[in-house]
Amino acid sequence: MAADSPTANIVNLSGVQDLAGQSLTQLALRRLRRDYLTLAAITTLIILGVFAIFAPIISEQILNADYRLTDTNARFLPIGAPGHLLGTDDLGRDHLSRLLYGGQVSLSVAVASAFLSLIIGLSLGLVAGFYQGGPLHYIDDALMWFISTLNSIPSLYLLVLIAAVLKPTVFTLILVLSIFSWTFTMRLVRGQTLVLRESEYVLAARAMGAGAGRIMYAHILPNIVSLLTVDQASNIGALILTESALSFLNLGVREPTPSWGNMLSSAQSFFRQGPHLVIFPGLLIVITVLCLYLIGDGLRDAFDPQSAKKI
Amino acid sequence: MTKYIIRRLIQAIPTMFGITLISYVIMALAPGGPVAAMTYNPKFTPQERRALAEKLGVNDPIWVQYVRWLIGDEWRLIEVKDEEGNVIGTERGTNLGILRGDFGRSFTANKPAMDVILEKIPATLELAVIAFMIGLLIGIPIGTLAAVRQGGAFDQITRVMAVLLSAVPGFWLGLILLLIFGSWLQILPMGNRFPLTLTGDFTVLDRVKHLFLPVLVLATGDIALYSRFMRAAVLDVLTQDYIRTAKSKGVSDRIVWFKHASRNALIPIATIVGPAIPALIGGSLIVEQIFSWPGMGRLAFSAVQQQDYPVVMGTVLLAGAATILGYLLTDILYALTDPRVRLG
Repeated sequence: MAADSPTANIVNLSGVQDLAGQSLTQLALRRLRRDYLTLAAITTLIILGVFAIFAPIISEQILNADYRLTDTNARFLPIGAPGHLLGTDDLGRDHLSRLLYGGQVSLSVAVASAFLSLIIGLSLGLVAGFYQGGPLHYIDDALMWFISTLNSIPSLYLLVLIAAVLKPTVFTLILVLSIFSWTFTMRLVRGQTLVLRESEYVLAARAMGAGAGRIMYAHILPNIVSLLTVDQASNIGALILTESALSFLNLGVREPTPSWGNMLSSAQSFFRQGPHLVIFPGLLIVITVLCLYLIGDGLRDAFDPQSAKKI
Repeated sequence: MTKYIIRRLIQAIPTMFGITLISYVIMALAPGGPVAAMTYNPKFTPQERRALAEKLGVNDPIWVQYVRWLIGDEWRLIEVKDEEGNVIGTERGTNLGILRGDFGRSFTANKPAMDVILEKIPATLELAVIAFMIGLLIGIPIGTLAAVRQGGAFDQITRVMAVLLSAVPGFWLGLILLLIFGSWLQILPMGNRFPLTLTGDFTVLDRVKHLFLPVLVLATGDIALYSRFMRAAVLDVLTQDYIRTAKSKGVSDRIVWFKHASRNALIPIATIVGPAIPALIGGSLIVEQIFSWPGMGRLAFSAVQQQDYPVVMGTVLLAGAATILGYLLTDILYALTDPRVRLG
């Protein structure tokens, strides 16, 4: 029983002293350094991101393939065909370079809509939480009514309806996705604001004459930010899933622009001729979303002040 | 209890009203609007188009149209004009409004939109109910086992599986299953609810074969979710005093887990019924699309694409009503299963 020996206690004590004076972020980074699963997920995601960012260079310089170039003589080439590492699709376009460009589209749409919904959710959540129960409570009442209404429509029905009306381009798709996802952020921020506005330092700020805007911006916001950044990883993951579902239904990114979702949509009709076309786009979605979820979990554990994880 | 249910139903009115408002505004934003969709046929003359617009009242302000859509327009006198535009008489509107269950006529099927939707509901219900039951039947035992052997191999494996499955898009899982069982092995059908035969005969086995893949896709996410939920609930119960008492009395592990712990852990499971309903309705939209399942989701999707607005609005409102009822059902179930909960 080594843990019960007196030396073990001393080691443990010195460890505690070591933590004094370290910020939450420093502690989180220390926890992360031991969390190999999260580190592996981060590495995988960075690799995928690099491939997506450098999609034009990789496909032109290394693969010598144009993702738009159709070739009726080279339809449904299998994996490993000369000049096409992962074969070609139903129009004879290089599958690998389309996957690279598709990743660029899918990732950037998800990141952009996560950012937009973060801004909407953050500002509305702050305002609603801050004014809840006060003389301006109708702001909060109206927002909560709107959210409970929005959440009472199954999200896919709502998305299909909006996407069909807006005639999707990449820009409207980002808009549609953030309309759908801001409510989660908003409720999270609202809840935190409700707690923080009762805190003593907010009372102190009030006593010194700080206005509503200043309290929200300088006192409440900084204490919510870390919570929110942690949440973004899983948000982006969920948005990738939603985007791919919409694109799969031809209500998201439209051909000829590739996205992982709409590549699956066209592959659906060609099971017999090109089974590889069904496998790879989906596999990339799964890997990306899985990494994002794992990172989300890892960050949440690392930033949790009560985390039992060893430092 | 009755009082509580009535109060909750009254509270649902503003939400239902909001759903009509949101979906109506979205529909009104659609380019062209219903007249363009109805008169897409080039045989329509401009005069006919104008008469139709007059009849539908699309030139009025949007809030007037919204109110008419809610309460109907059979009280409204519409001027009937001849070809030169002279008023030759009046007629009454025919719409009763959605508050009286009239969603208008479907543009494509030429019958009341509600009839078109009601025809499709049994297929979706069949899919959703079976998937939900299977999700519970498999998810609950998995969660219980994972909890009683917390940290063990089974717990770890199911944990990894649950995270993995939450990252798999349902439509891709469907495609892969179709590729394997439908295209390669050819042991399961590629879609539809019944086999297409001339006589229309089919056996129970045929039905099961057609149900198998769509239900599997729809239930997979549920199994992952419910098993995690059940695991947390059982872990919570296992630390209770009465479990320790049962153990100290010498009750066998099996009885403690599945009789004492599992039963009380089922109480929080009641809370997943509510969120499960919108999830199943939304999920069936995609699943029905992949497996050509003739249900409400497939109908909603094709109605959106054909700009069949009465049907679109009907499906959205029905889905919303089902969701609201689902949440109400959750609260009632919770009160029924947990004697500590008092409905106030």
